[in-house]
Amino acid sequence: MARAKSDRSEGRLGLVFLIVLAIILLFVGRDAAKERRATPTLTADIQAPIASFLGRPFRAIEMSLNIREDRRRALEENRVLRRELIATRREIDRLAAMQTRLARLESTLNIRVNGDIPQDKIIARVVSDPGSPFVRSFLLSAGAEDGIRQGWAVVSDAGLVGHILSVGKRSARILRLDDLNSRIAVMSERTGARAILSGSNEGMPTLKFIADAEGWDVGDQVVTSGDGGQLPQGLLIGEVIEPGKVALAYQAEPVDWVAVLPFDHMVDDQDVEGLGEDEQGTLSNQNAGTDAEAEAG
Amino acid sequence: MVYASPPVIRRNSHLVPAGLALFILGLVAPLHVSLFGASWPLLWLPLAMVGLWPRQASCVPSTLLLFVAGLWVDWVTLGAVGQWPLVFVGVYAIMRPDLADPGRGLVRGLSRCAGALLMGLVIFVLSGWFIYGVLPDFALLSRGVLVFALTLPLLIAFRDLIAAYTSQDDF
Repeated sequence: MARAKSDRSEGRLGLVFLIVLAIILLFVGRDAAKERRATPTLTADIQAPIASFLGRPFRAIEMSLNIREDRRRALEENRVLRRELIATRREIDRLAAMQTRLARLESTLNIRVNGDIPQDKIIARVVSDPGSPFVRSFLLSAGAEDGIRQGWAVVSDAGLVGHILSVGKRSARILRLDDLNSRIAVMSERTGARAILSGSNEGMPTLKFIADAEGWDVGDQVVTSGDGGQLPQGLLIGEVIEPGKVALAYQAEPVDWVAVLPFDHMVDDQDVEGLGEDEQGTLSNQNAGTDAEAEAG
Repeated sequence: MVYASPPVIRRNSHLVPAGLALFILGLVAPLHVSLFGASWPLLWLPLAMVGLWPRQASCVPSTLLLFVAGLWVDWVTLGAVGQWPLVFVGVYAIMRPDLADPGRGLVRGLSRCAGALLMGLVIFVLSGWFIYGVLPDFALLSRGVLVFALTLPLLIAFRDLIAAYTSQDDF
């Protein structure tokens, strides 16, 4: 009897201690929790095939239920697509002529075009959207073995989904645009006005650090600006549906297959250190010239 | 005349299958199943294990194991460190399976898991709000609860099978 009582009091003490410890951990790691840390790639590598396996019967059920509806929709889409194809052929001819003209103009003016969207793509399937209701991420069924690297942009049919947060051997994790930690340099396609798109974990991300408030209006298409050199310029993100709020294009439909865009980041300081002496000399001369101009101004 | 109930025979060996189940469910917890254009999270499955925790296991090793399992779930779900330990240990502290009346079966299992889920939800939402300053996606949470409810009978049957095998007649 006495032993049972002592067991109970020990148990209570242990419980209180561990609850207090958990609360302390929460307090200490509160700020760190807001920044997504490097994700455990080992568990992601294990989770990706499990998610794929778990999803298989559900995909089969979904497909068998949708088969009749899909046929009807396919017929309807076929009709629409035929009409669009005829119109598109004419449009392609017109665009090809314009592209030739543009290329000629660019070469005449000696314009260097950078930040273009890469033509190569790595196609991968979203096997799960892991995390908790406080985390917005996706798990891909492709990883380092397929050539995926950290930081690369990920797009769906509709638009930019996010960027690669961590890469495992056969899996990769995407930080979605609506995650609390997502910050993307964007611009209005109409005016070129710059801002930072900030995720909020609440559906629609917000535009912050708006450089030119008049350059933003409801209905504007939002694309990546390429500033900072982390993402290519011109990737569609969504549309401004109320002042400062952006409806993400990729959320219009369920995300199944996505394309990872291999994009080499712009040159950083470490790359400059690796340059030859002549090139470094040229760069320092240029910088000195710029400083001198600034002082003179 | 007062009759004292016979003391429960403590068998900490029961923590092995319980801990193993919690580890596996923790690994599956961050996954979602995509169906009908929506994602259905398996987030609450580890909490079922806390609801069905073996009553014969002592309190201190149980809470230690739950704390470590919580850290494991935090790690795989990219969550804030301390959130899931708080949920697991908090639910255990309120339910105290080691002091619960004996009994098994679907109805008892369902009621215990429903209680665990309710308490877990409250602790999870409040702690998440404290850390991130935002409320969670309630639609996603509700779908998770539905998945939890649908898989629960299966988990209870599985747990009762193991319990009957390891505990014999001592409920």
